[in-house]
Amino acid sequence: MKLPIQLAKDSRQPIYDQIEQQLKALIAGGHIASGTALPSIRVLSKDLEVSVITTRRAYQNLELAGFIETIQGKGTFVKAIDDKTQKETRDQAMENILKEAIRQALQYDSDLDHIKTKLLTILSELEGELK
Amino acid sequence: MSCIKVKELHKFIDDFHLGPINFTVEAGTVTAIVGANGSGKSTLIKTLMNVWKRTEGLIEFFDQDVTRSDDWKRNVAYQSQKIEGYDIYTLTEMKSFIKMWYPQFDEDLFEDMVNTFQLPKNKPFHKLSEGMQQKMALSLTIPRQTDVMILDEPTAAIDIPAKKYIMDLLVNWLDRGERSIIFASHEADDIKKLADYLLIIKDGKQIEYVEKETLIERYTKLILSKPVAEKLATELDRSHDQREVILEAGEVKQLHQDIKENIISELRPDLEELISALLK
Repeated sequence: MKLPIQLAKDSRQPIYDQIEQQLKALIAGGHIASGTALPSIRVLSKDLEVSVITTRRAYQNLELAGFIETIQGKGTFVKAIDDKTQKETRDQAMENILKEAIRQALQYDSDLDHIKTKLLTILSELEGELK
Repeated sequence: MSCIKVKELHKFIDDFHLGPINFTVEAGTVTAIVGANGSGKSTLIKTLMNVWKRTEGLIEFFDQDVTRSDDWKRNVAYQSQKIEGYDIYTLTEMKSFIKMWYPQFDEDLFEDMVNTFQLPKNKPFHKLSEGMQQKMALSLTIPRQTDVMILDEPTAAIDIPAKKYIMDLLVNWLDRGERSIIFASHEADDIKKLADYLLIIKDGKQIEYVEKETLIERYTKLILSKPVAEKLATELDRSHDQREVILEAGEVKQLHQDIKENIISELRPDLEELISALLK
């Protein structure tokens, strides 16, 4: 399967960390079920146009954190994660997205109060839409 | 575990001097040799393969000095830029020669490549177009099942669909063990998709042997609202009326307040623009 990972050009976040966080979010969000075979390090490196050193680092960290496991001679698979980890990871992913959006908004308007007001307006608009 | 070791390598030919070259290839990794025309890429590859004798230094494949014996060659598949010695022979004839040297030759992979490329089996090599010649050479190189492949501009004359097929083949080939590739290329796409390490050479001198993301993350590209007049300390390149500057990422924090206020955005430079800047 081809993983829907997109590396941001305007982020200071290291590339291995972007791969790691996005994969975590995909797993915790239930987009990739436990037991799913992940692409090999070489294949993912080709797809993302990064080195195997970078991809291996992301996979190793994910393995240490208990999100994936490598079975010698078979490949790398998504592990089942507990509810607490799932919730924490989703929270973290959401927080990262919001932080990034605010950071980008700050490039257009450095007034934090203004951004806060705007954020609340957007939230109440969305609340109306989603109801 | 390293599979290729090069130390203080020098090669003099006429008035061209290649070197010093120093790098070690870890098994399971891909190194792209990058440089302008005439920078010494093919000279380096020929010297590595001991086709041209080195003037000074050390070259080892699998811990064996390349000048001692030819044993290591059975585990290295090499494709030169100009394919020599194939001229009057057909694909079928070439394959039987090559099988003598590489008895483990993968017939299934060979057949798959020949069918995909629609190669004529009984036409002499010199009667084929340049692209077909390169496809034929690859069909005789990749199936050798060696641990190392050394390819000098392997896809320069090849069409887009075949390039994609070859890329997938090489990725598959690499996945079948701790295999390594060294290739020289001008194709940005091949370098981005396949290379782990870059060996950048300029006028015969090695300027970098570096892992791809280490190089990319070393630099940052500033997009500025106003041009900066002075050259910055770690500046590598600038363009677009001095409003795009590539510099070392660490310098951004120390920039003068005037410049900092003009930063519209800070981007990670593209591999292509970094290579061009380093080769200027």
